[in-house]
Amino acid sequence: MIEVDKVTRTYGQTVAVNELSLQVQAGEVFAFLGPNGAGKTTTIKMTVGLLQPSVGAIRVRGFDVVHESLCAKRVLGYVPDQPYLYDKLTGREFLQFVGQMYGMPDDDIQAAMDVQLANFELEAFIDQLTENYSHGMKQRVTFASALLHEPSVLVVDEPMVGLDPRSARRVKEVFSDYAKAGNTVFMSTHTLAIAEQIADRIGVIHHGQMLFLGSVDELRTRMSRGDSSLEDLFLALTEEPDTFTSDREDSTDNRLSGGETVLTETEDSDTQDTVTETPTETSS
Amino acid sequence: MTGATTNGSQAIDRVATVASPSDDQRRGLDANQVGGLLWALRFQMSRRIVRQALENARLRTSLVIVLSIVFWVVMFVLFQEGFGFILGAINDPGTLAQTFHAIFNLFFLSLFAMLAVSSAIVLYSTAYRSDEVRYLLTTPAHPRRILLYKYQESALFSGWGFFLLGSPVLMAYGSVVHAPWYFYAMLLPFMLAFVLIPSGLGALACMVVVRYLPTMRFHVIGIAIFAAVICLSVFGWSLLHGVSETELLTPEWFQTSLSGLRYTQQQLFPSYWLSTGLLEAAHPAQVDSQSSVKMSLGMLNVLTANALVTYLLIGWVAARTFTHGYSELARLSSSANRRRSNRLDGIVHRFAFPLPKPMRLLLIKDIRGFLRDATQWSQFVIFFALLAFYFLNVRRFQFGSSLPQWIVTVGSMNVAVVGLILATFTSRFIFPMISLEGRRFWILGTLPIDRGWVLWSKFLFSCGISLIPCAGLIALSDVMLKISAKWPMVALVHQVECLTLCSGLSALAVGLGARMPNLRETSPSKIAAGFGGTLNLVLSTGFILAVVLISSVPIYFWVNQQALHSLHVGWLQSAVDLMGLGSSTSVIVGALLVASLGAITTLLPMRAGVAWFRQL
Repeated sequence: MIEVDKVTRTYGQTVAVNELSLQVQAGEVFAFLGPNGAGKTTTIKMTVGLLQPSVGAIRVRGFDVVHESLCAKRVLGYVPDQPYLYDKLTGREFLQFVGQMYGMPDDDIQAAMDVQLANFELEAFIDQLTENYSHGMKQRVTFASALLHEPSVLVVDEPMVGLDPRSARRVKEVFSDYAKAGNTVFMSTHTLAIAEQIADRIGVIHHGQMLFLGSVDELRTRMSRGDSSLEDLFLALTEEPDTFTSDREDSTDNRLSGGETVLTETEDSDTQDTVTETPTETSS
Repeated sequence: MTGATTNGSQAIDRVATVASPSDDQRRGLDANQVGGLLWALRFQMSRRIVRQALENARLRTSLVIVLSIVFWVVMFVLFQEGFGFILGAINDPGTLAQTFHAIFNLFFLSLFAMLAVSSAIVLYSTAYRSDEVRYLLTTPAHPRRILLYKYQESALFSGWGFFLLGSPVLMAYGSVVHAPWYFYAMLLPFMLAFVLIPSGLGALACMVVVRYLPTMRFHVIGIAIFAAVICLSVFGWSLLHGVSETELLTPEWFQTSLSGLRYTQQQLFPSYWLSTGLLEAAHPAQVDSQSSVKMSLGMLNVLTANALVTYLLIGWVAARTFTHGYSELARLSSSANRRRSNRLDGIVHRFAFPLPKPMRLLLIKDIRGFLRDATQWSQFVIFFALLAFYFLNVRRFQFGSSLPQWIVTVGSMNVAVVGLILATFTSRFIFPMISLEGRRFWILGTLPIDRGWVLWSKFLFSCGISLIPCAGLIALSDVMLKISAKWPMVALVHQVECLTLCSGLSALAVGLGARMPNLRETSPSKIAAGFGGTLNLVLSTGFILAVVLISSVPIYFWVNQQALHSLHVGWLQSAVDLMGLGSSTSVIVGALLVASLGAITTLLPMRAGVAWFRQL
């Protein structure tokens, strides 16, 4: 469903994403994890067509997001970290507008709206102007708008920010149900508990490179920490290189061996470890 | 291009053939349908904004409508008088036609340049920097359509001023020459077709610069503004250089000036098509009306055709550059490093050493924000550069030394103009500062400093950046009008007025901004356009008028004592005697009154603002 193929994206001298490759399949909830500035949002923005890769290609359901962007966007739903709604429209008018933009007939829009209003409990405020909404209300309407046209790929940047516990629970349920129906959910999050609960696989990115790709259990096995929480695993995995080398002298040989991702020591660096990814086939 | 289209079609077919319940609907809308949808969206939102304005912001809406009508009527009357004067002064029909051609061509060529620049700047902020476009780019709307949608918006934004300025001028001309009805009927289509060309060229320039010279975009704007100011200066200089006061406004000078303006009448300029078309349409019915109408319609056709070609060209360029330019700009914006500010820190600490350190730090923060916001400093620079250009040429209009009252009146009006420009700046940029700060109140509110310092630092910031250019401009005006040489005391009083205006206007904006904050709004322009911002602008205008009147009336009677004797009304004479008008003491008293008014206007709003801000 989503194929990221050796994608690099630079910001001036900074390499935000460095030769990133990954595949997310249909029916999968994939959680993209990483520290601030790791390259998660850049990858997501490239996936939805807001930014273009400097090198490499991204395909959504086989459509190249740069050269076949409109086709890719038609099968995508996107929930950004900062939701955008038109101030002077009501939530209902906004949803209608979104449905029309995706070429949905009026009857289908109405039916889809009914489903999403119930899904995200929007009925109480849907006819108010969106300028009066709280962040959480905006976020819920954005979720509804992203799912309105029944995209086969849902891309979400920080899904739980501003949501109350009830809405957060509902979002998790929607994600799971949505993936079970054969669709793909690709989300970036700092909320590791959410990733642990609902993600089929996780990807950990750091300094623009993929450190790990697989399930949480696989991560535990590979790091030989059977009872650790995802939080502990994540922190250990994303430790800065100098701290990492001084604390764990033995780790440079192979912290994550035998899988999709290996850790190697570069010849031209005394102090820094470099994590490189080996090409893998992800099972469908 | 064909290949790309074929790929696109194949891709769309692939979407339609992939098995999924709703895939049969995923062919999506075509570009025209998306365009229609975006128009409907705009209409829906505009209707709601108007309704809200009428329901919730009656004062502001009424003020805007009334001021626009007043502006329109004043422009109409002024131009009617001016055109009437020209009509009466020039008897030769050939010279008369030549004169109107020159005036219209120059007027519309200047507006053409301004429209192109403003449209480019507006499109840059609305298409490349807006949250809406970031959202639309994630929908299946073609980037070309999105750009065209934003272009229409930028043309509308930059075009409304053209309509407000151009319509009274043209209507005044029509009324003076007794133009037939079709002249008025053709005004709107002519103006509409015209406005699309410069705004389209501005949009094209914006897209090309962002796509191919993204790192140079601000330099390009700077160079364009600089070039415009140079061109204007050269033009003004060429009209007036080497002409003595006695030669000014003579028939010879007039003929030379007309010849000098010929280069503005190139037949390839859209301003020429507009001017010629309208002047032909305005011909009285008895003067070969058929050929005039033909010529006029021909020019309208040329304008319309060019406007449509420009529109098509924008779409063509947008399809090839917009997405890539947008993406590239994001790359540059994120990678910009700001390390050169250390010098600024040193300068502020050195020159503002009497202030407490936290206040200096707050000042540095605001100055950094100002320097890094191109919208703020570019408007500041454009306004003041245009004023400088006007002041540089103002000496030629001093009407000879025999009428000193005219000179000091022009000098006072120049002070008022500087004040009004400053008032628009403080209302637009200083007033919203507290509201915007309120959103980050957790930073300032929790610092171990007196909250009053926050407001006083903003006041000093506003005063500091406005005082030097304002004082410089007023000094330039006084030098050019020879006020500094003939009446040094008047020049000094003008500087007192300047200091008073900078202090009072800054305090009004900061104090009212703190007293009437809008903490929910993130857009400074919307904050400025709210009730508080409008009230600030109205009070600022009143303050400017008070300052200028209090100081200029004693000056007027001092340099023109004869005017005192022409006052025949008894009570007026008594009032003049009471105030001691005509003496130098009255001028000093006027200046002192102005300074006192300035002190009150500074302290009262600041006190109210600080008290309110401390309670937040």
